[in-house]
Amino acid sequence: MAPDPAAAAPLISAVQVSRTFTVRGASGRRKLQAVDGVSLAVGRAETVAVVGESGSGKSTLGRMFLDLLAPTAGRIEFEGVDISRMTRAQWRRYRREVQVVFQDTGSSLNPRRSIGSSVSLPLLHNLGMRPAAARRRAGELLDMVGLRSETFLDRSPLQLSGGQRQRVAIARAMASNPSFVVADEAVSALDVSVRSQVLRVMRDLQRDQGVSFLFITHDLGVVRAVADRVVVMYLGQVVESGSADAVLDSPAHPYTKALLAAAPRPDPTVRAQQRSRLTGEIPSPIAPPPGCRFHTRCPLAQPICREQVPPVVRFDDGLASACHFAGDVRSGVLAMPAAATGIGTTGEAG
Amino acid sequence: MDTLLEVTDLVVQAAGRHGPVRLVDGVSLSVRPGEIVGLVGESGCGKSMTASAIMRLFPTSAVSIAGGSVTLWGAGRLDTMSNKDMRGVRGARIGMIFQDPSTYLDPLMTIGRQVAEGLRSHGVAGDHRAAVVRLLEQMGLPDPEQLLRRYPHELSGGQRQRVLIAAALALEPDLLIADEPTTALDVTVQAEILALLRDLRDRLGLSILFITHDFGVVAEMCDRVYVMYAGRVAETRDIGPVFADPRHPYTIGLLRGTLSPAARPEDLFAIPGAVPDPRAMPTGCRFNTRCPIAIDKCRAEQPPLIEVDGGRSACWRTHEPALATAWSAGPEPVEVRDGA
Repeated sequence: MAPDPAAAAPLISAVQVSRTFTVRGASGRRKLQAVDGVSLAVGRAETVAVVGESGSGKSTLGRMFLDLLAPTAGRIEFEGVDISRMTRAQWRRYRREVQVVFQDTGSSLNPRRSIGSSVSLPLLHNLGMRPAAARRRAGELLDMVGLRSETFLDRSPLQLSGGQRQRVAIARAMASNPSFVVADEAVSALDVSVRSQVLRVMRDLQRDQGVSFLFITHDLGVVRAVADRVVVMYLGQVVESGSADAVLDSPAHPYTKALLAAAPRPDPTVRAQQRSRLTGEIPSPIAPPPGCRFHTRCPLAQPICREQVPPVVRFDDGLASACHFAGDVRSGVLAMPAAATGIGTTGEAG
Repeated sequence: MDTLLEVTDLVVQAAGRHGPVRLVDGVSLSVRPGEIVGLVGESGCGKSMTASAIMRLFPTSAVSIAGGSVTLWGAGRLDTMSNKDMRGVRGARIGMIFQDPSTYLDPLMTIGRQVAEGLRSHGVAGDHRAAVVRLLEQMGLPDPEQLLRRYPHELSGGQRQRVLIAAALALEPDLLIADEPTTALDVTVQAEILALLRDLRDRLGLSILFITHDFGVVAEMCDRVYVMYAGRVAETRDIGPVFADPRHPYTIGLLRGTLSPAARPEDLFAIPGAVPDPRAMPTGCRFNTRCPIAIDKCRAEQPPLIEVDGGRSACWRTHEPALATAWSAGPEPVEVRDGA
C-alpha cells in the first residue's frame, strides 16, 4: 500500500494475507473470501485505524494479527518473522507482546474474580511474578487507566460501569507490557461520554509507553482522535489508506466519502439529508461484485467500474486509493451527489 | 390538540433493600404532534426508565410509578388507566422500537406473521397480508412479498430494525418511542434508519420520542431536546439553541465530549466522575459533585428550571458569564480519574 513511515522497520505486518471460509448453505458448500490480499504494516508507537462496515473483513484481519485465525494465503510477520514459522521461544514472546481489547468486556472478565485478580493473572502466568508483586503491579496498571487502585482492586466486574470495565480490559491487556494491542470496536458499545475517556487512556499509553495499536471500528468519528494512519476496507480489500489527515480531510475514494458523510456530527445545521448517503447494504462476500467491488453502491459508478478492477492510485502525500476516478474525486471534479429524498431501499444482505 | 403527550412531575421508584429508590424524580416533558423530541443523557440517567413509565412496561415488578401523571391526547391518564385499557393504547396509540432488533423478533416466526401480530391481537379486520406488504414497502424493504416468508436470521441488522419499525407502526400509532434504535448498527445503516424515521414523520405526521446518548444523533434528528441527569431534567431546549448556546454545564460537557470526524486528539474530553448512585443522591443540584463551577448554593438548594433562550435550564448560574468557561481550564481540563 502507501509508502508509509512504518515500512522501514514495521513492528508487525500483514503481507498479502487472505482468509477464506467454507460456508454451507441451501446451495451447497461455497467459499467466502473474508479478507482478500491485504498488506498492512504497523510501526512502533503508531496507531493504525482499520475502518469499514460489518462484513468488510476488518475483524477477520484483526484476528489474524492475533493468531486467532490462520491466513489461507500470505503471512503475518512480527519483528520480521513469520508467526507461523516461529520457534517456541519466539512465539511465546509474540504472545506476550501482542494483546487484544474486544468490544464486549462484560463477557471477557470473570464475574467471580475481583478486578485485581483478573489483572494479576497475566502477570503471574506470562511474567512469572509472585502474588504480592503481581498485586502491586495490578494496582499500578489500574491507576494508569484512571481507576484508583485502592477502590477498584477488590471490586467485582459487576460493580463497574461499561466504561470502567473497558478500562480494566485495557489494564489487563497492558499487564504483560505488550508492544502491540488490537482494539476491536473497543469503544463502540460505550456511551459517547465515556468513549473519550477510554480513547484518552489509549492515546496516553501510546505516548508514554510507545505501544502500537490496531484500532478496528466502523465509525470514522472516533478515528481522528487516536489514529496516525487510516486503512479503509470494503468486502475484504483495502480501498484507501493514508495518513489520518489525508484520509479524513481529503479522501479520494467515494466509499470513504460516504463513511465520512454517515458519521453523525454535533451540528444541526449540516444534517445528513444534505450530505450524500449510501443506499443499500454491503453485498455478500460469497459473491462479490465484479470489477470494483463498491460499484453496486457507488453514486459515481461508470461502466468501467463494473468491468475492471481499479488500479491503486498513489498521491504525493502518501494517500493510496483503489478507484478508477480517484484523481477526479479528490480534486472535486467528481462530486458526490446529495442524498435523494424519500426512502432508500436496502439491498440484499445475503 | 396542542400536545400529544404530557408527562408531569413523573416519579419512578424501585423497591430497594433499604427502602424505595427514586430512579426518575420529578420529570416533566411534552411531545407535540409531528415533533421529534430527544431524550439525552449518559447510561443510568433515567431516560429509558422514563420511556418505560410512559408505556408502563417496567423490566421488573419492583419498579413502579410513584407520582406525577402521564397524559396522552385522546386517551387520558395512562398512569392510572386499567391494565386492559393500557394494552389497547400500546401499539394502537404508542409504538416502540429498541436498540437491538434481534432481541425483539421471534427467531421461529416469519417476518409476515410478526408484523401482522399487532393487527391480529387488536382484532383488526380485513386482509392482513396486504396491509403487511404495504407496511414493509413503506419501510423501504425490497421484495416485501418474498420477505413475508423469511425469518429474522436471514435479514441484516438494518433490515431487522426496519421490520421492527413496520411492526411498531402497523396500527398507525400517533407516537413512536425509539430507545437507542441505531446504537447497535453500522454508521452507514444508522444514517439510513434515521432518514427513514424523519421521512415517516414528514409523511405520516408521526411524533417521535427519541432516546439516545449521542448528541451527534440528536443533531441529525430532533426538533427539541431534554437533557436528563440523575433522574431529572437538566436542560430542555430547541435544537438550534442547545448546540449554539447550551446553558447547563452538564450539556456543555456532553457536547464537548461528542466525537465526530472533525475531532482532534486534543479534543478528547470527558466529564470526570460518574453518574451518582440513585441510593445516595447529592443534595442540592445533583450535578454539583462533577460540576466545575459549583458554588455553595448548588450544594444546598435544588435549582428550578430557569427560562433561557429557546427553553429552560436547571442551573443556578445559567445566566452568569462563568458558565461559558465551565470546562475551559486549560488544554487538558480534567482528569479522567474515577474513584468513589
